[in-house]
Amino acid sequence: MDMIKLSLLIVTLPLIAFTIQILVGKRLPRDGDFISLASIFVSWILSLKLLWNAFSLYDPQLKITKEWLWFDLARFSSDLDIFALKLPVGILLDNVSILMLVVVTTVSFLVHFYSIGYMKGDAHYSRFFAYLSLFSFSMLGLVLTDNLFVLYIFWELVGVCSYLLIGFWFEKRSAANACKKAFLTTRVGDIGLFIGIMMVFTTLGSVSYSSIFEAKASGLFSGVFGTIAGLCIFMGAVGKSAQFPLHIWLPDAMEGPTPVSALIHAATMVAAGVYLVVRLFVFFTPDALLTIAYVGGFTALFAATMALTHQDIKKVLAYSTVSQLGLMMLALGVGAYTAGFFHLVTHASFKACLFLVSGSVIHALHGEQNLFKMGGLRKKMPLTFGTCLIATLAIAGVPLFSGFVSKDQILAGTLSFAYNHPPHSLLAFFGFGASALTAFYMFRLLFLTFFGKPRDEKLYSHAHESSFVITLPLIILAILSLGFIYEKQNWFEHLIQKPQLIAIKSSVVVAPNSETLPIFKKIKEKTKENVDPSATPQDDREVLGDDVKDQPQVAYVEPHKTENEKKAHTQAMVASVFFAFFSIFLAWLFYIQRVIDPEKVSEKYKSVYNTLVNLYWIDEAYQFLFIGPLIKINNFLYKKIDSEIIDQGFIDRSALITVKTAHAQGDFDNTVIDRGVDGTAHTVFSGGLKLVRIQTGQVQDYLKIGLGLVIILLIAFILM
Amino acid sequence: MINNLYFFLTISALLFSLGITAIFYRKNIIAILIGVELVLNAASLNFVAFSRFTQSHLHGQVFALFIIIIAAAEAAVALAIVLRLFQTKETIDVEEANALRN
Amino acid sequence: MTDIILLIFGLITVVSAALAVFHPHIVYAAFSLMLTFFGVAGLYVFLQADFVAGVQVLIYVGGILILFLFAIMLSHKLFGSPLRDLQKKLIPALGLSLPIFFIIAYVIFSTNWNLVSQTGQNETVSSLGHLILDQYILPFELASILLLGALIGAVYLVRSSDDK
Repeated sequence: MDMIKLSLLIVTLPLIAFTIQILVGKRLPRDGDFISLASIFVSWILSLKLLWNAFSLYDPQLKITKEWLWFDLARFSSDLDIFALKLPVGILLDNVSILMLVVVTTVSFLVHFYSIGYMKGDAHYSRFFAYLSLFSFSMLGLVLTDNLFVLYIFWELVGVCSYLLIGFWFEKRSAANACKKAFLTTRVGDIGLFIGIMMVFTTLGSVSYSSIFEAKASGLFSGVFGTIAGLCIFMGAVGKSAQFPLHIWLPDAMEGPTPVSALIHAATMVAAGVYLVVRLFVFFTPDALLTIAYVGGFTALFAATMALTHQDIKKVLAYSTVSQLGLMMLALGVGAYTAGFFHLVTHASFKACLFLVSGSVIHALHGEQNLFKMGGLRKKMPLTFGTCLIATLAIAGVPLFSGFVSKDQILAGTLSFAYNHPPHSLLAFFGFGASALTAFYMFRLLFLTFFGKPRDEKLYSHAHESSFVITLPLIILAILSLGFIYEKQNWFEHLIQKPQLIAIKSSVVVAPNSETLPIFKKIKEKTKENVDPSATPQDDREVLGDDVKDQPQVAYVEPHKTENEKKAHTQAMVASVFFAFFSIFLAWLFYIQRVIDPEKVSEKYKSVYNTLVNLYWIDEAYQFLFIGPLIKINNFLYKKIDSEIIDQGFIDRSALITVKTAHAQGDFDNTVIDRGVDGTAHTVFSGGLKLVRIQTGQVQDYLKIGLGLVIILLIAFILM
Repeated sequence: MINNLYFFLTISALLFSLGITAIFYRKNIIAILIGVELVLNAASLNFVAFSRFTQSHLHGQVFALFIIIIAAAEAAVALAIVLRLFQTKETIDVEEANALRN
Repeated sequence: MTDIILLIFGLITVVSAALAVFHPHIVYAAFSLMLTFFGVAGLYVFLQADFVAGVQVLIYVGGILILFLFAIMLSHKLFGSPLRDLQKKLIPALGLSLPIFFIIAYVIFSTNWNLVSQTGQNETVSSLGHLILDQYILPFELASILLLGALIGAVYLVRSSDDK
């Protein structure tokens, strides 16, 4: 089966599973969890097959696309104007998307498997799996699409799934608030994304990646306009990937069940923002990329500081996610494209593993999430401890683990960028600082949970190792967090290379913000595809009506390493390893040996501690700056306008008029009509009473009447 | 000289209206029947007068005979009814015979 | 001469008829009726209807009037009860009869009667017999049936309930 059909199958299987699950799930045996599990399993196998194909092709320029026409409004407009919208929908398969498919399906499958054990006994077991399938469908669709509009659709769909899953236990007030917060915050980002898409669309008339790249190659979107468009699109990523200032929703999203946190808020959905930047990498101007780097870097350090003091195990991991995402953005911003995407892939495995570990611990402790109530679980839950150790070592950047490879590349990238652009050395500081803090707080978590004396004896006595369905995904993810997977031939760096635009000569020059032509006509090819025709069919584009664009507009090139960069790489590696071990040592001192007592430190630096614990009071600031005033304005508007003017003024008055009219009509009915009817009846009756007096029963009277009439007749005869 | 049609017809008219008066004036049923007899006689006289003074060949007289026959039959039955009424109501006041009232 | 007698007979008829109508005593009224019948019979004679006059006296006086008197006797409480009766108001009765009289009078005097000269007819009986059994045979038979019915009906009506 050719790869496009495979990818279609991968996408639609979870959708079918969702439909079945949501409609009849409750009536099936075992509440139908096997349907979702089977569908995601098949999708997983198929995506592994796609990966196998990609490996066999081993081509960095791999690009397979197929387009269908979704709707075509040009037929209804006489002249070719901007509203002659022709929206194709298509699939783009290159190494990035194939790898994303594998990541998403793997984590999703393992989370499905895990949920069988974790969500066992939940009242809404079936609904959970339905939502998981829906989410898998949305994320896979997001990854496969080749134009921004369909991406936006799946983007929103993923947001909806996140809302549904965070608020899965919606009867809990805090969960209901959290899912609302998540959705609204990402919405703020999505506005930016939409504005960006519209900016692109109104300039180009098309939103597919290929036309965007063409446009960029021919010089559009290079100036301020392009920067702003890029930043608007980046705003969507800021919202979705929880960068500062829209990071507030991710910690609250931990109200959802732990498998949800693992799947959505660690590995996949939050990675969608990073994926977007990866896809549109060539679109961003250097200024935009710089901004992205700063935002990402700042977020990385900022979130890491907040994770230092948190008590809830899942919230620590949440901040860690924010921080790691910031690192990915930082990498992409400084141009370390491969490193950023690499970190996304490795982060998916070890962060998901960490979340599932926390779920296992929480499950064993019957819902306890406070770090300071745990301790010494190493002996009780060895498997969990082992996998957690591996994942923590990975995230801390210890060599031989996957996290080290990717993080090392990021740090090398930032350092070389700093060397090339000395004014932006702060970025390197962000990167290294975040990594150091990461190692510290992650090991703090590990030590507090699994080492030392148990702080709550009752909970500790009940703790036991979790069942197979819970531990198997942990083991698999831990294996994936090991470093050797990525060693062979540096396959990752080979497959995922930094894209660069090919300068093309187009016969059409399009000026921004003026009249546009929807689709470019002819372009000259500059690169060829190295796709083996026997293995996969050629581009099967079916764009109706216009000339077919044949060739890619970007080529993936391996960034050649200058001297500076090589030096930076070595320095970064040494520094990162040093920082990692130093931080681990510090954590050991703090929490195992108790040489430095964390409580005393927090007392001494009380103000700093308080700031961190209260998350820099950002939530309060937003409440004060935005939410509070908005609510006040709302209330005021409601009271003054809605309530007084409209409700009391119009509606009540009109209601009063209606009521009075009704009463008047009723009275009219009663008096006039009833009197009419009753009067008629009365008249008839009394008339009848009077008339009945004729019937006297006396024969003489009857005769009188007859005779009288006869007389009258006779007189009439005589007179005429 | 007064032996002309008009005289007899006038007599007849007088008898007729007197009979009508009796029917409506008297409360005794038998008195009412007297009135009826007067009316019949008036009609009969009328017939005979016309048979005498017009070209009638005694047809009027034949009719007068028939009227007499009918009057006899009717008087018999009517008085039988009166006696019946008297048997039930102990009175022959016609105003008491008001069972058809209302 | 004959005119005077005719007038007298006419007066007798009308006056006794008026008495019959207006006299409160029922028996007197009945006897006045008898006188009226006689008067009418006399008038018939003047109209050369001798047979009819005889039949009139025979049937009316000799039959119907007797019947009336019997009925009067049988239907009054004889002892201590007045044979007079209270009368109704006169005006409604006159209000009906006077118009009738005037209408009839008007018709009499305003119609152009097709009068022929007085024809003398002495033998009326055989002519009447001829007419009855020739032209008027059907009414004759019907009248006899009617008489039969009236006879039976009258007898039946007066039976008291314990008779069989």
